[in-house]
Amino acid sequence: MCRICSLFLLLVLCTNCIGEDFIDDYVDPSLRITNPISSIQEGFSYQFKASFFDESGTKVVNPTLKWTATPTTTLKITQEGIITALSAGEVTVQVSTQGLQGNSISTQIDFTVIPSPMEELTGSTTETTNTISPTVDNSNPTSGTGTSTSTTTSSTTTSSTTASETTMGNGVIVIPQVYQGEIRSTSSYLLQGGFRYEHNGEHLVLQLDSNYKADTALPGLYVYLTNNPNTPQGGYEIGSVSVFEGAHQYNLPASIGIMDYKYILYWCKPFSVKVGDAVIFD
Amino acid sequence: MEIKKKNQMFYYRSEPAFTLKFKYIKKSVFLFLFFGMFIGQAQWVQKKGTGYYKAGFWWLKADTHYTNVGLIDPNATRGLFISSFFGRYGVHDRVTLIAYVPHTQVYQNTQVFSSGRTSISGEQFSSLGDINFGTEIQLRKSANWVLSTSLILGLPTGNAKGGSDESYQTGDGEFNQILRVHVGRSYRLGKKQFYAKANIGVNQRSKGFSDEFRAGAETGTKIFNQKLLVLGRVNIIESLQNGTLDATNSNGSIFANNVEVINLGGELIYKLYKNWSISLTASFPVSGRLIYRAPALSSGISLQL
Repeated sequence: MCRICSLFLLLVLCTNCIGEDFIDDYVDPSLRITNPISSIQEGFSYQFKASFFDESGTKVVNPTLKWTATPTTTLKITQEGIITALSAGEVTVQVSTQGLQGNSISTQIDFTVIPSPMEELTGSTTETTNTISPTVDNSNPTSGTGTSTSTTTSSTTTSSTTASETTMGNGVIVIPQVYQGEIRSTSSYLLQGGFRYEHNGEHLVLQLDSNYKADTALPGLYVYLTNNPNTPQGGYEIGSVSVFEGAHQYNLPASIGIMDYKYILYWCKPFSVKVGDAVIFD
Repeated sequence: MEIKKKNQMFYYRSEPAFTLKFKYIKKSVFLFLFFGMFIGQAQWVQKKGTGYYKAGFWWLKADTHYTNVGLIDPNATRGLFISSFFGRYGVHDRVTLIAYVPHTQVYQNTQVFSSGRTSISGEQFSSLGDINFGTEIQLRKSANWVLSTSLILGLPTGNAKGGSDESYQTGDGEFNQILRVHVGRSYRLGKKQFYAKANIGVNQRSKGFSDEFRAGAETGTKIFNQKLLVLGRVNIIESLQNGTLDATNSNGSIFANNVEVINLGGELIYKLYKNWSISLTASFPVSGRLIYRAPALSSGISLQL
């Protein structure tokens, strides 16, 4: 009798051991040109920067990047991403690297080399256009003059940028990046609303629209910026959600770049439950 | 637990509803309350000077839960393990005192990622749970019927902010009172003797939690030479939706409110010898809101003196 009870007790006690949950956190690797431009003046130089995020959404430190520019008669580029505008015309800059699985990953940006003011006076005009087209996730290219839009094919969320261009002192016109989209629920809990993500000159601001709503039944709801929507690990914790309806905003640290994180993630922290997400950009 | 034939009817002594009630869990885990097990009823009181004592375990492991709209969502696997002592003592032929003292362990599994990124370590927290004290009073008794009432006081002796993120609660941090009316009777199906019991009641809660309507029923019979009691039961918790507590005013606390559940279960109680018996219980929430969706198991050994 005592033996049976002891065995049973042992069996019962073994049921309360911490086990393991296996989480598939794969995401498509992402290569991003983080400082795109819409045009550069002939004779000027500019350095592109790119960040690579692997299949877990983790930023790869010092990735091996290969930069190319076409046509080479219009634009010269070094393997550090420094371009020199040689002559007026439409150009494409592409950067590529290798993923963890050995596959090639690339992204490119289209922009215009505009003639120098001297040539402009002679009547040469060039329309300013730019196109950023990531080739990894097969998303649609963005295009426009001062206005670019992108639509992801892997999510119902749509992001877009709308902004006027800014001319820098080095003959470069940069694209102020403003992203808009919709937060969606990925669970049975209510979460919805539009967002706007932009730099106000000092720091990034995440604004939630007046149509924003979140479920008040959830305990410990937190919002993150992340490159992997399956987990907040490795992401930036903005904070606990204290507004559950209506417009509000989060001011982010100046150290965060606008292309550092691809997703907004709503997460029930105490129980590791994903509640919803939004794609900031493709 | 014990059933004995007396005056042509079954006398069934079981743990009172609060016995294994996990109010703490209820709230505590928004989720995830798993409740369960112990919502037995006790409309037959102890005779004066007699007692019923039980040491038991209750455990559950859940990777899904019912959401606030009753749908099923996944969650990181959480486990609960409660070891408890339960006792009833008759201070009068019609008045029984009841006590339930639990020790609760809450844990969460380690999260391992396919990408190879650093795992999130599991965690566990344990402490004394919420103690219950109460009394049960027999109101009426006839040949086949018994009517009784019980009042259970839930003391906030558990930890309402356990663990690194305060979500590993072993108590709900609130004082509550459960008032119930119980009715029971014996009946026959063919030559077999059965008993049936039912109860309804209200759980009045404090600190902004909604009050609850509770109801339960069970029926059972003895087999194998009267040594094994087999019973089935159903228990229901409905929120009265009159609380004020939610995520907007609880500062991120994980305490949940408005937990609801319909729980089906069964129990086997085997009489070992003399006054000793052992039991094995299983239950499953067939529907619910803000409660774990997983079977709960329990076992125990009891002594009737």
